[in-house]
Amino acid sequence: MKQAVATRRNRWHTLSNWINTRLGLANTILRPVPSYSLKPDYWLGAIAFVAFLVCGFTGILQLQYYVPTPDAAYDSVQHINEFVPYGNLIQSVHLYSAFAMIFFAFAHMMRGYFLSVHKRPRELMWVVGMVMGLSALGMGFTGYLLPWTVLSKSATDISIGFVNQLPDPLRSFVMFGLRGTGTDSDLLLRFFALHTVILPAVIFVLFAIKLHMFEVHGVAKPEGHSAPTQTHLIPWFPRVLGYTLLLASVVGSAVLTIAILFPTQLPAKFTYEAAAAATPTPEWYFLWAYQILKFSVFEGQLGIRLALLLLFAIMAAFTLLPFIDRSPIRDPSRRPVFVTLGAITVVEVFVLVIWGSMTPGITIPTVEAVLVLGSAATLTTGIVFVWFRHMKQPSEMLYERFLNRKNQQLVSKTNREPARRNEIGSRT
Amino acid sequence: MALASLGLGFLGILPILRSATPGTVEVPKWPRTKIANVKDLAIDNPKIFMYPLEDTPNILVKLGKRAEGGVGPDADIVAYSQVCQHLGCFVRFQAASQQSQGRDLFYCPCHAGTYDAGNAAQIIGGPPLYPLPQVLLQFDDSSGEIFAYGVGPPVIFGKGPPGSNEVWQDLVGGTLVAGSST
Repeated sequence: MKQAVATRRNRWHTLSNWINTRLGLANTILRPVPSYSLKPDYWLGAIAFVAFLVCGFTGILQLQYYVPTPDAAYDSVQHINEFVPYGNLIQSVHLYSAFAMIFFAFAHMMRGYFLSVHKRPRELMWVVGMVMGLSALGMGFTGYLLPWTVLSKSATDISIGFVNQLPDPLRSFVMFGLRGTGTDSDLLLRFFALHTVILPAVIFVLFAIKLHMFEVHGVAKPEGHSAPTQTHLIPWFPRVLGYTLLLASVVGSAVLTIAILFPTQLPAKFTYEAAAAATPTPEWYFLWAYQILKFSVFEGQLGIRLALLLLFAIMAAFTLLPFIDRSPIRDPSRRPVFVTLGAITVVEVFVLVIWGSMTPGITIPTVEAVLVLGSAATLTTGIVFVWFRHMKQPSEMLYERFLNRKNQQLVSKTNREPARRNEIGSRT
Repeated sequence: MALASLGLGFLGILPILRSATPGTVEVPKWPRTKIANVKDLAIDNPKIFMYPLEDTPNILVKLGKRAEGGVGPDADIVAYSQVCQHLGCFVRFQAASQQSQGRDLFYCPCHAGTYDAGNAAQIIGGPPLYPLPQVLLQFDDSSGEIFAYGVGPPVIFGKGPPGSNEVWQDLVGGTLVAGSST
């Protein structure tokens, strides 16, 4: 019996050696990882990518039935919903994993922002990640049109309406890119191609580039008083594999549960009569931009252009963050300005999304917008300020403390001194 | 030097970019299309029809009182592009009896753009900057048929720069509706 086990283990080793000699995975993506990285916030990007893969899988299943023409699109989606086995579940999982992808990508970005992972040598990882995130938003934008419902078609028409207000060489160029000659079938075909071929290809290529950079630079070790104390390496098998599978299962089952509890319901098909009666709104992840565009200061052609310029500037600033925030300090407790700006960003995004969902189609007077956004920003600044003041040594972000609560319990006060010495040592 | 020649070499591929723009197109003539018969139209009961292309919707409505550019026995039948001049949503007709503004309106549900249906679709409220383009109608006394034979300025939203008066752009990019050419 004992011998049989030994033989089996031998065979497994022979097999894994054979594979590793050829693929070299043990030197790249299956390298041991530092013990402190077995925490959920280190895997937010991985979760977003797994959600993307789930979208890909459910998307391919839907491609077997979907017809990308204005006349047949809606009926084919309805057919999937009603007649294809598990069709409604596939659609619901597709939708909610897309939501999960965008949510976790945003969480991944903001975590990176607060812990300054975008600094040398990971600047380009941040830039590539931002382009991936924008492509994910593009996936959402183009996918929304495909069922050809009243809401989705009208919302797409509005978004294109904004582009139509740009100054001319830009206007005709982008308009042609988005909707071709301007017919409905051109529009749908272009969005279909973007959603099923171009953007997924972009995301895959960028993912490969980013994974390469990750393998070169490794996990970014947090700095400051929350710096990990235990830094020994853990082999990928079985603990890292088990941990990542566990995380993927938790997120996967959450998506599946939501998909079963709240299955998608197809809104009415697009007709001009129905469109004239409905107030279209975008999906929640665009509500923040939707709300900004509804401020009355951005009315009129010049206003619309300014608003688009503002959105572009926000995106550009975030994409180029590593070249704007150039200080080498990574400890959040020593970066009050950037931490405050980040906290304001998060709060304003939530405020705008909730506010946008409450006021569909209603133009917001500029005074009201300034008051709401201003008070949210002031309140956030105040809370962050109080936080920084009250955090005597060791000072910490609420966010980090929340994530490290378990660690805090483990690390006793006597352990703290060596930990800090360790951190000083690593900084020199 | 080498860099400059490399740069010049790259300029050579610029013409390829033209493949990513619409290029020049031949502008067709306005079709003359039957859109309704006067005996089928009830007052304040709008009808949506496509003109001049198969995916440019318009609203035809009999207002019951004399209107700017109206045709028919009472000169009260008008038609306007259904595409809002603000951001391209689709407007709906609201009779004076259905709301409190005291006149017939076209109303956009997206941002509450409001146009005066009886007066050349002039803007009454909301964010639009230009009136809705009016469809030019012709009434045949003997048969009671109503024909569309053109669309007045400004250009239909999305067909050209907003507010442009070059209405030939309405005819480009799509399939013309059936009808005899004028």
